[in-house]
Amino acid sequence: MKIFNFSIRKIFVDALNLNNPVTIQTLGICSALAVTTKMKPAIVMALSLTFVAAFSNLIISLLRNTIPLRIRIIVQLTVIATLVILVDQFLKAFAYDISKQLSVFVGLIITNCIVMGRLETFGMVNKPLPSFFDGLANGAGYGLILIVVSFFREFFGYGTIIDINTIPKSLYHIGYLNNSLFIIPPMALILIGIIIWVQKGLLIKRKK
Amino acid sequence: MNKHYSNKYILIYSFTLILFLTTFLALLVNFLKPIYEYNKKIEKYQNILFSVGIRVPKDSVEEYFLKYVKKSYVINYLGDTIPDINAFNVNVGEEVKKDIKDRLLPIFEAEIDGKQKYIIPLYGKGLWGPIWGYISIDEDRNTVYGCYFDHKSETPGLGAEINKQYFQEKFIGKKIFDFNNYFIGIKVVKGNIINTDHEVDGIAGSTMTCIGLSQMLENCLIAYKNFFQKK
Repeated sequence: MKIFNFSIRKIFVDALNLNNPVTIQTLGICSALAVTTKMKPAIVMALSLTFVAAFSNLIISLLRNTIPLRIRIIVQLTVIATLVILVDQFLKAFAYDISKQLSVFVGLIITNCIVMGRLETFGMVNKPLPSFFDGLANGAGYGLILIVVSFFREFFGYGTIIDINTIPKSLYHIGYLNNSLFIIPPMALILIGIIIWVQKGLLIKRKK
Repeated sequence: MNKHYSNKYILIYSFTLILFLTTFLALLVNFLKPIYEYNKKIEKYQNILFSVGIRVPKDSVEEYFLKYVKKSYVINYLGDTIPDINAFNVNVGEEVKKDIKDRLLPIFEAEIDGKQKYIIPLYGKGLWGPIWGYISIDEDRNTVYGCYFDHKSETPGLGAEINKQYFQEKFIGKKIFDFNNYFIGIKVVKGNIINTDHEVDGIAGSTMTCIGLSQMLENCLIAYKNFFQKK
């Protein structure tokens, strides 16, 4: 079966660039708006989603020949929900402050279109190992955008990077102000829009 | 791929799957619950300490809390102690919705430099979601010694500023009773402060959150009126 012979490199290149879940497929935008005001929660969110995507893809792929097609979405959701609750409980126990900042958004990974989309299109029809890597790669593709967006939002909105002050005090004395516009949700959409614009521009240029 | 599955297969399949996954989750949650509860307790301790101006990192919170906070008890609106209720177990969010006469009112007593401070939990509505906090009253049962507010989803840079230290420090020294021992409370106002004892300058651009904050202070403090009037 030649078509199932994916190269891992291709999976990653697709997910990170050519078929990025956020910028090309425009999935998972909701949480990208909500958790990107600071880098720390964004990184944790990216890791959580990567974990859920990778393992749910792996589990569904292992079960794929036993899952009755009529209830496949339900089975997928149960597996995702279990993994999400697992992540949520671990965060609450070991990273309480971050879990408070992420609040409902960890729970909402259950309905994140990226995870469901990967299970339907990849996990259900491919072998376990490529599926696992596909989950990892798509989580990374999502995480990459989250980190880029949160970098700009935290830098201009709070003057910090991962909670470390980066804009010197003297600049504030001259009259520099943090830009609150970067902290409110619309700015995340604008930033994602800019990223999509740049990325698509580069892709078109390369095709020519 | 397009195998046809019988109804029996589907039922057994889904039942086994659910049974397996729920058992797994139940065990996990049971295992992690004590850690989660501990985190919650530490957070509460930390917030109470914030309200008396003690800002310490998470890992030394418990030690400081036990050192400073000596007593906790629950009173009714007349100011009488209700025995056998742990002040930590009172759900303030539920109590503030009740009629004042039916409320359980927790008080935490801290002792700082030999002086008594009364710490009261607060809970109310902001613009987008709940706001809460603690306010500490000095030994004279009138002057604010310190306070701490937090919020769930107020606008960043505007209403969300209520959890910043510079804003909370504005409350220090305000009074809840006037010269005649009459309850006035503390209000967050826009612009000019006329009554320096009872008014606090609000945050520009967060009128709605500040109104919520005023209402929360009024609603929570008035319940303790009788307790603080007994001097």
